[in-house]
Amino acid sequence: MNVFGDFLALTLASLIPILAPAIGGMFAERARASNIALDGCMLVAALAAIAVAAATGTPWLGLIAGIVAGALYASLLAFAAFVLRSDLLIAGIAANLLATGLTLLVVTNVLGSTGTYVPTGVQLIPRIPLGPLESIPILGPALSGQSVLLYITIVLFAVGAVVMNRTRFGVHVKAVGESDEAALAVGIKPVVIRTATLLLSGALAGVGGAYLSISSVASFNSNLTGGLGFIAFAAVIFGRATPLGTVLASLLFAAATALGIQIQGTGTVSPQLLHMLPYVATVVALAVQAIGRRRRERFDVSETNYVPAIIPRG
Amino acid sequence: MTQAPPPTDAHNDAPVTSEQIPPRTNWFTAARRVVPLGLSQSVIAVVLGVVVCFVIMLFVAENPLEAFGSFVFGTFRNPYSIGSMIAIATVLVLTALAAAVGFRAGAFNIGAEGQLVLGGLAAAVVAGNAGVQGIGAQILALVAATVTGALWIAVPAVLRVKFRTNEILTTLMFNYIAADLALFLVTDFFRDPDSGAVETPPLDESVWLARILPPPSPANVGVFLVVVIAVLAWIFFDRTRTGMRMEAAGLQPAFAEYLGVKSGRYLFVSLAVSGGLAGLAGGVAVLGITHSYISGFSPQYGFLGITVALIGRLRPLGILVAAALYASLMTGATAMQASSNVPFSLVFVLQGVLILLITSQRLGRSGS
Repeated sequence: MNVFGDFLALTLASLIPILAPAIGGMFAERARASNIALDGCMLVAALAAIAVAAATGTPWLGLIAGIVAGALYASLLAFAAFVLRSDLLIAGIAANLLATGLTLLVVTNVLGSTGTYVPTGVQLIPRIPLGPLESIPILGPALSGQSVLLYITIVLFAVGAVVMNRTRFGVHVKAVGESDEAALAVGIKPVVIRTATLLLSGALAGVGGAYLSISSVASFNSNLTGGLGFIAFAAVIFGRATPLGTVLASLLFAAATALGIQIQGTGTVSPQLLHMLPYVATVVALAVQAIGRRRRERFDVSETNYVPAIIPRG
Repeated sequence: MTQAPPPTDAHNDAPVTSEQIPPRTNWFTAARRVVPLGLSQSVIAVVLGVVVCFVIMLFVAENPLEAFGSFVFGTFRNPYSIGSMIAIATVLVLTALAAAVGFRAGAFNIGAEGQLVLGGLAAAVVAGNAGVQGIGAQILALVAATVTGALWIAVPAVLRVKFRTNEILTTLMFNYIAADLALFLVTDFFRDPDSGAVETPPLDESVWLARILPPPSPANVGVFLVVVIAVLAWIFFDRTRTGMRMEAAGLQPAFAEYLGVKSGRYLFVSLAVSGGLAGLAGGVAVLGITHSYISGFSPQYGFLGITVALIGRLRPLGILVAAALYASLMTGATAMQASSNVPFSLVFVLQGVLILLITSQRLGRSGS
């Protein structure tokens, strides 16, 4: 295997836990329900996946448990945002903190291990050897032995792109994202659509979480995600919440992750500096979007530039 | 900003639905009236949060009552814990003031954690290499920490003021950038070669903030500093013209502009002050508690500061009380971890629950 083949293989493997949550995050973002708690959803899902996989001996049940747990955790966020009426971003940050605490608590007190949970007898999600196809130059070694979840993620992405651009649900999501009044006027309930997209993003974050705990490694600790959920969120923002943009941004960040792993120890570029890349890219993307919006607004007086703010009272 | 005529009739085009629909705004700049609305809400949230913790303990602890006892009262069982509580509260007051200054000026500084980490690193580096000893080095180090914190928020602040970029997202991302940057700087430049951990060389005892309790206890003179800062903040917000203008600019920028207040400038200054306070918190934590920059020295003081600021209802004196309360729960959690099988991470659960409850607009509010 050559260096480039290794790099491609690593990139594709790193793509799974970034792209899977990013697809769901894209729907949520499009409906103006930014799910900043992707990381927390992944963490909870990863724990649920490995616990169920260990208990039942079937990784597929673990995957399903991860998806369900991710969606349930996202429902907590939806509850906070739409029932308790907290600010969604602040609630998302709280949900991330809560996920760290809860998973650590469950690992130490329910599963009874200290810090890292390494159950015995966990079967990993199978990896697919390509057999004779492996002799295809570059692509062969890159694709050989990848987790089934890679193909599932690619299928999910394709389905997500079609749903977003070619179905009634996708149109509803975009309508809610454009304008609440317009959506309400044609009978779409913004809260219902937003809740649906949040649950969807939680479920897909569950796929990413399950990959981390029952496909990548067979253990769990509360630092398992290492901020991958935020990188996924960054991919959504950087990709402007479109399917193509999201997948390209995810690929870019996956490549940066792979590069970071490969150059570790060679001392050419500091891996920490590479690790920053997704976050810097997100800030740049946000800035570019904001500057573009500002340019357009300069000639547009149809909308108020009302910036509501916090109102402390009492 | 005010060149275009004010489109005053834009709000009246949907009279039927105005009850259910928030004003038409971009989600990113949308209404964020999340701030605690009254004392009752703070009290309800804290009580409910502690109750949730107790329920969790009922499930997981071998001896729930004893664990709960340590959690709530563990701090006050020996002088050392009281000392740690004071030291933690010192840092929390600063990060909470950082959050409150931002909130009151109409912006969310979620990036206190990043500003704190870099401020702490700056303090450790300056105190270690200043060439002066004693109080001079301490002052230099704390100033360096403050400046670093303020510089670290400059980019998100400019983006927010000039282009109305969502500051929650940018400051949050800057947290992760700061963590990576600090790790990079320490491993490549400032690392203590004699230590196995990623940390800077231990500081000379003359640059430590002076202790106010007998040695093992980390309580230090920083506590007087932060009380002074809190009182100054109270005077500034409630007793000066500039403070009132700052708050008006945060509440209703357009209105403030009509009064001739340059809301953008006030917002920028408040964000810089917010970042500076968070940086100072890092400096106080390093000079007063850890005595060297240790990677991961902060148990998320920055995020805890947001919780404390919200519990303290964004008022400097409320923050002093809330910080003491929260610090006692954190020290209590350490005692609980030692005396029972419930881990320290319960504090993060409490924090998550508290933020959710305290930013709720349903809770503690009569009527709507």
